[in-house]
Amino acid sequence: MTPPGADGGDTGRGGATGAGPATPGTEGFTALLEDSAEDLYEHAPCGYLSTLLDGEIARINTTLLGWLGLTREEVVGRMRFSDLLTVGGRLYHETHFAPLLRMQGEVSGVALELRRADGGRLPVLVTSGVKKGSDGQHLLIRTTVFDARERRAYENELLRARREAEEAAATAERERESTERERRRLREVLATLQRSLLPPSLPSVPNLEAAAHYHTASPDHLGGDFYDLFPLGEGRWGFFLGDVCGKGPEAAAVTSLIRYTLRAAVLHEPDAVGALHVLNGVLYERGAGGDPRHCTVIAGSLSPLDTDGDGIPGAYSIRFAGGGHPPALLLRSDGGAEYLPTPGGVLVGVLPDPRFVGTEVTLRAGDTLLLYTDGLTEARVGPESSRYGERALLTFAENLAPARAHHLVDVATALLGTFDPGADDDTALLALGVPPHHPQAPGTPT
Amino acid sequence: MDVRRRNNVVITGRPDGPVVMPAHGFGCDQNMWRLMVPALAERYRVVLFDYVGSGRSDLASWNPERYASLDGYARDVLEICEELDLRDVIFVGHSVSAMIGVRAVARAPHLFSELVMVAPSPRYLDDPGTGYRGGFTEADIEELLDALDSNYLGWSAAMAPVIMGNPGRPELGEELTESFCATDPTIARVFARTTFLSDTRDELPGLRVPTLILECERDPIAPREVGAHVHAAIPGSTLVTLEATGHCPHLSAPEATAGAILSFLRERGR
Amino acid sequence: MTELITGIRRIRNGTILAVRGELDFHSAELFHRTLRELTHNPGEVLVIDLDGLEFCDSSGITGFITARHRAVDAGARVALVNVPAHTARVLSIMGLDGILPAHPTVEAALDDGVRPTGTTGA
Repeated sequence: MTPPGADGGDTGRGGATGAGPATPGTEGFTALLEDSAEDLYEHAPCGYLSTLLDGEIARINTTLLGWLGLTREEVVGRMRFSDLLTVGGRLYHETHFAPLLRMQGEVSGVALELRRADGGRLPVLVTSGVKKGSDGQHLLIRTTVFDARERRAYENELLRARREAEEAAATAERERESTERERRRLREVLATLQRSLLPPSLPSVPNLEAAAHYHTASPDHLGGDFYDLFPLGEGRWGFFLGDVCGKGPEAAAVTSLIRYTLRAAVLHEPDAVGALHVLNGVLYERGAGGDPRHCTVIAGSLSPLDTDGDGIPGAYSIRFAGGGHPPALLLRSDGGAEYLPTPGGVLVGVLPDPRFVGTEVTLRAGDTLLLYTDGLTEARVGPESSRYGERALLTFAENLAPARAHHLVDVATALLGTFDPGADDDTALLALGVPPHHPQAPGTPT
Repeated sequence: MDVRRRNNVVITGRPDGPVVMPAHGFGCDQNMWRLMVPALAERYRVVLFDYVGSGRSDLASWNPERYASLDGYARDVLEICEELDLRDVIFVGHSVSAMIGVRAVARAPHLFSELVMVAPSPRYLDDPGTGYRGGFTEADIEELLDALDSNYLGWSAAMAPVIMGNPGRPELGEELTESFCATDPTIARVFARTTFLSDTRDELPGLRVPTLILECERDPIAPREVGAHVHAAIPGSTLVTLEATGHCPHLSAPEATAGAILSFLRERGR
Repeated sequence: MTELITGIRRIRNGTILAVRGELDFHSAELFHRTLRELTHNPGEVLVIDLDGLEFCDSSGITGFITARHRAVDAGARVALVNVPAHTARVLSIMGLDGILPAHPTVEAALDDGVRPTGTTGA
């Protein structure tokens, strides 16, 4: 397409003829040539009006009259610019638009609404300028009016979106706070519940040192590990440590059941194997009801010995049985360490008539027995997420032995702290040790 | 904070002259008086200011509770008088500021000698209960708030260079015009509501300060019916009707407005 | 973490349930849903193929036990194949290697059933 006036400057303005013969395909060019300033004013795609300084409308174009639905006779000399506005718009005009125009001589892009004859409204953008005489005297005001329906719809959408975003942000903040409160409350409840599954403190046992630690992997989940140490009468003590399969509230409920069942069973059954059979019966029966729950456990009893066989007093005989649980670890007073397996013991609660195996060991002065759950041996360590494992635990024990109960638990707790924090298995530790024997000073009879 | 800075106090005119304190209305700031100040400055000490939240006042001093009542704005006036130790003040209030002046005079009558009301209205809303016609309904005020909102969006783009602190446009004049009328939309909404929902009619009869009421012949905001109401309500007041259109005679007819004020003050020996 | 994937394939005399990824407290629910989709006929074998099982904690072991109970209740039996060393060790510690017998291959697991003396527990 040939640019209008490409070869003739602005000769076409005002409809001058003779700028050259019209060739086919240049109808647009011809139409431009024939366009008059007057026609452009009247039918421009925007509204024009001129007012006296007091706002009285002196001239208005056909486009704007069409938008308003008014005739020239109704408007010119009869109405002021502010009469075309909504009442709110008139207030805005008087308090902002008119003073600005007076002060600056022009105002541009102000959003207002026109009132149409049919009662409808037309959002517009208004630009006004003051025409000044040669001496700077204000003569009249020229105003252009643009149809802003789409722009206003878009702006309203923006405003609405901004309000909604502000409300949504406020709501989200409230919900976040509420969720955070709820979460804190839940954690407190969980912590309380978890504590209720463990002895508040270990009892004081004559000539025995006992220490325990419970490592909670996640404050949002109840762990299923448990332990206890309790009197059986006549100087004997019962103990157990275990791990319920699974976690959460159901596991906690089973943990509670296990704890009370085992306390009673260890007290009343003649040996640990019998106690595990009682527990197995309870869990298996519960599982048959559709809620299969199992646990691994080591349970047993401590009986004081007059001497340890070598004539050193203060030893304990420990008899215990295991059901599917990692073997207990014995740290000897001479610096050795060994596992005490209970082979063949099966996960408690799985089979109607399982086999459990008991074992017996003498805990001499300086010996310490460590019971633990698999959170310790199964913890992921190293770059390949390999497991810490029983071999590493044995090496750890050999390097540490001999160790008294509290020290052993402290060091093992520190070891847990070095493991991958992503590991989400709880860990329970229970150490039972006989204090080292310190021979009396020479010459003092024992 | 220092009241002078807080309210952008500007003092001009004859230092030993009587104090004239022009107060702007809703919408703009002390620049509204620009065309009239020269006529006043010859004889009077002119104390100009912006209400907190308007013009170049300290926006950080604004709070929605204080400025949700005309009394909050009246406190601005009294605090300026106190800070500058002004006495026998001739208070000139435009539009809503006329009623702010009424409240300031009621609280500290000893500070003021005359009150000039330019296009005043004690209540903008109609009151069907008493037959009072302010000219507006609450729906109209909501429309105004919408207009404020939609123009804030439009203006935010226009104001961007100012907000960004464009160093390429240091001309003082432009800076002045751009700050003129461009207030924070939240503050503008509060001022609009406070202005257009206020009602000071009950305080008019108690006014004991000589009062000049200036109204425009054709004022879309404060029609002559309202001017007549104010005149009737204030004992001994003078009503002058200006041959002017619009709500801002100090802009559209500054000479006539200044002339009416000056002759009123001369007659009173000020 | 590798997500758990389970797959079911019917074979002539049983079902192969393949388990890949990490079977723990969080993923055990998927495993149990998969189990509920399985049906067993008397004499059939449920082969649980653990090739690709990267992690299995006590929740996973509970899942295997549940699978085993469901199979046994229907007169079928269960066999594990491709058991990772770590899981084999856990099963051994828990005393479950008797009731969840492990086989090197699917064929071996299927063959085991035809022998007159199975090693299934109960």
